[in-house]
Amino acid sequence: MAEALTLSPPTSRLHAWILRAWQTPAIVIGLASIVPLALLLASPMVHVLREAFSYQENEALRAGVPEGTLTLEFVREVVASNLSPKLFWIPLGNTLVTGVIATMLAVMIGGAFAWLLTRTDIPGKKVLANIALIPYVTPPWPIALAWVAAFQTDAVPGGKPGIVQWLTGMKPPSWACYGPFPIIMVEAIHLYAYAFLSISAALQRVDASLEEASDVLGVSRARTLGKITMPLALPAILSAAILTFGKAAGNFSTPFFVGNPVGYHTLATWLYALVQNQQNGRAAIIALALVLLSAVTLELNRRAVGQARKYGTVTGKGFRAQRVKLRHLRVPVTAMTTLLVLATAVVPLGILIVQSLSAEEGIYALSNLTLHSWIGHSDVRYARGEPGILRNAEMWMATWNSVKMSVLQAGICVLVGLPLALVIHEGKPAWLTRLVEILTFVPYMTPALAFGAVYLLLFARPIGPIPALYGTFTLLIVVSVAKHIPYAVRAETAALTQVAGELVDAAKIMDIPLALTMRKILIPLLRPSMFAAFVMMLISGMKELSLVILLVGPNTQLLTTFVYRYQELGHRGFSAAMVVFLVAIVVTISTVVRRLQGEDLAKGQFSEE
Amino acid sequence: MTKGSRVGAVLVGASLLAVGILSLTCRPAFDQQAWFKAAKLGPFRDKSETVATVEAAARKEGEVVVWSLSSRLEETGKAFEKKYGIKCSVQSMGTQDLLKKVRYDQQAKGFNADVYLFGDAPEVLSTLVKQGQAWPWLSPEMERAIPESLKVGLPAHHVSAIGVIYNSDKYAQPPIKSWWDLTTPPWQGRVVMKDLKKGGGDVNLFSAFVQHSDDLARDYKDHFGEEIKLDGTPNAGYEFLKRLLANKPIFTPSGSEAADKVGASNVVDPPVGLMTLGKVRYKGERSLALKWIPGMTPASGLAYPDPIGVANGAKHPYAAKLFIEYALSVEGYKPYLEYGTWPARTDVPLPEEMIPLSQAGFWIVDPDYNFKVRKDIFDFIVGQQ
Repeated sequence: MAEALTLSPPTSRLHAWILRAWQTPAIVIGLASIVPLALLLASPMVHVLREAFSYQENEALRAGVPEGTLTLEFVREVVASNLSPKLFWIPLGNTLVTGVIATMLAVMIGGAFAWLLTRTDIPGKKVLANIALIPYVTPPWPIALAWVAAFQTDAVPGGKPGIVQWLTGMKPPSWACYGPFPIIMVEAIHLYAYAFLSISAALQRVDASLEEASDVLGVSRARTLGKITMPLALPAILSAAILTFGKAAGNFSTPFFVGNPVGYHTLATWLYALVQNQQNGRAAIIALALVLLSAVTLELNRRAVGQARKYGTVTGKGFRAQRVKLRHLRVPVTAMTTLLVLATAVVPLGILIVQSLSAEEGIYALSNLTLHSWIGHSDVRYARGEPGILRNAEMWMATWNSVKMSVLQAGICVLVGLPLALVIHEGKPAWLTRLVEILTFVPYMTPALAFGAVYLLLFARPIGPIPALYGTFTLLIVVSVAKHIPYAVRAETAALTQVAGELVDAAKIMDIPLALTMRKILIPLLRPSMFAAFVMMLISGMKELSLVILLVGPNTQLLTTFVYRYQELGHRGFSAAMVVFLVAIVVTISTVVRRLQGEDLAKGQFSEE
Repeated sequence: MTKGSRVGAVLVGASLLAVGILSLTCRPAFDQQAWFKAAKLGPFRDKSETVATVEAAARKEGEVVVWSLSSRLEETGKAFEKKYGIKCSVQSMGTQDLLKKVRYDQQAKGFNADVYLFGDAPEVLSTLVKQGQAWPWLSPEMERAIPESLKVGLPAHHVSAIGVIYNSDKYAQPPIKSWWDLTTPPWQGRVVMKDLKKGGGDVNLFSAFVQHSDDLARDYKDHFGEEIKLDGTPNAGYEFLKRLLANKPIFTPSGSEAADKVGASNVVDPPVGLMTLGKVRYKGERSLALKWIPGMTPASGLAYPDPIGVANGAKHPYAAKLFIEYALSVEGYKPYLEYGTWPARTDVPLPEEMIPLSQAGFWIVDPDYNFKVRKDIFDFIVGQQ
């Protein structure tokens, strides 16, 4: 002990502080984690900043200046040049417009859905809730592709008849297939389940006894909904809306597939276009704009949540919300809800299945059906001799890799997140807590591709005892843990404060060792939240593409990189089959895992009575 | 001292150690000159080095890793492994991903690959090759077989080209003759191409129009019988781009989707497409009726090499050389022996229906010019849309 302290200058106050800090495990952990966190979580953001404000690589060569020369040229070009309306302002406007409308739709549908499922006697709740989760666990681009398959027409030169045209004989207008309208629709479909989950959780927290009181006083149902339920749930609904908007605004694939063909760009697709044209400086500026956008969204969210806390009705007491009887509306409401769930969850998947079974796209005849994309033997006449996906050994390897990676990264995130959450909960010293909080949050806002770049730079060769990790499975895990750690830390900090805060503080006062506190208090109490975070990260790991695209080696292909490959090669049927397969796996895993835990992602709140 | 803080002490120590090691090892320990000497590359390249000596050394190395833009090279890799018993892994990825990966791997001195097969020659030759991240190597036989124009910086493995493709079911004859036709009303909304903002070869074609603006001006006069009037553009090349973009072309996310739109049998009113000639090879397998228009004026389109080279710092330089030799050999080249791709070698027979590159009337990409004007062209295109 004494030897360790001789390093510090002999200031008595500092000395005392160090002594005290030394005895607080949370502080020690906090201090110890700063360097690794900064290196693993913050360096990708530094990389983006470097590209944004200095000439790097090819940009330096093109400008004829030494690499690393500082510049504000990229900012000027993007926000204040002749070209900036095209480069920045219009895409920004498009991002906001589609994001806001999609969010409104998603929140309206999700909110109505949440109310129906938590507060009324609509039948088949559990089934409806589980099917409604499908569009959310599906990556958004298959829905976008399915949308195009449905609404394309042969009215434009080179167009093919879509399913709608085939079924109705009518040619949908072009705006129905490409442009802002389909972007809004696809994102609303993808995100309403997210809004539904958050809002139903919020509705659960609204104390039903207030509604009951209102009921006893003879207030009408509609008035109760408007005067009691809504105001109480509003901040939480607002928070759900803000987070939904954040997801919509950052989405790349939907505008890429249904917007770009008619030149409709959002910030995310512009970022991609600039990267594809090696304009990394401008791309980095757009990336920072997206970071700023999500920072603003999060700040708004923080305020909305703060608002929610002001209403002191959030109690830990169990209650059973009273069910509104739908009476004569029961049949039409049930029918409509079922139709909606089917249209958003089952139809897109169905369209992709049809695509995967079509020998040639756009021909709807029995003779055009084939199982080649699924189980065909290698035949040089199809897709350069690619065997059907279920016969492809590499595909099975990719599947196994994806599953293994997602499970491991989610597990590690949850475990590593816990001590970090403890540091944040400790709250002292403020600078340390704040630093850890910020560091563990940076990855959330960093573009995924920047992670790929920096991790390749860091781990392409051995660092001391750590061997070169490029091309290894370990690197994929390391990078996904780094990218997903914010979710775990956030979820665990919130849960810790809400559920176990007092107990942890009590344990600390009683000088109980940290390991024991963890084992006896934290883990048992936080298990449900940790588990929910685990499932969400697992699903998100299965969907990851741009994070890993630079890091996969020949033996570490993932399902998503496989789909990407088929897409690049233009093997449409194969990529449709792969997507269906991917969705099936994600749905299966999340169902199985939830069953094993005996816990529903929708927290069993939709059980029948 | 509690148990927890002891754990903490260990953590602090470990992370300090990690930082120390990091800062030490971040200095380049790689000796470039020693690598040149051992690999006989760069300044130490021995142009008389024979395949036999390379093969012996390659077998000792026993392994080769290839990063490639083209998935067809995977087939070559499998055949190579079978023939020489040298473990060969070919990993294919998109053009831009490959560039990034090579840049960062070289910057970190990871040297995780031995051979690179690149796309986007202008970018590669103007940046990576000039910075010494890839090195040329050819056996004496291949040196003789590949023309000088395809050996600038790095030798080409094969040559691809962008031209105009039409639907041969609906049109018995090519429907157009001059590039200027694409700017006329009959082709409004009926020209398909990969989204120019996706980068790559298509943007290079647009650079070529600007570079050869005199040819375009002359062709305009031949075709329409009058001098071209520029509408606020610097030259006929930009004027062509402006009019082409004003004629509302259809942009697709990928080249294969463009091919689908042009050639599918159930297409009513097929457009023409600007795309790589390789798309014509889909003819058989996807029942697309695609045909290339040779002899367009003032040029058939743009041809560009896809270069191959030994990765700087390669851990298996001799296996890399042997792989390059094999990829250029008649046997190893087989996956590329398809319509629309010319071998860099002039001494091997072409696939059927193909005319020699020298007679096909293409502009050849000019890497330096392209690299310089690329951003301007991009900005011009963006400004027009």
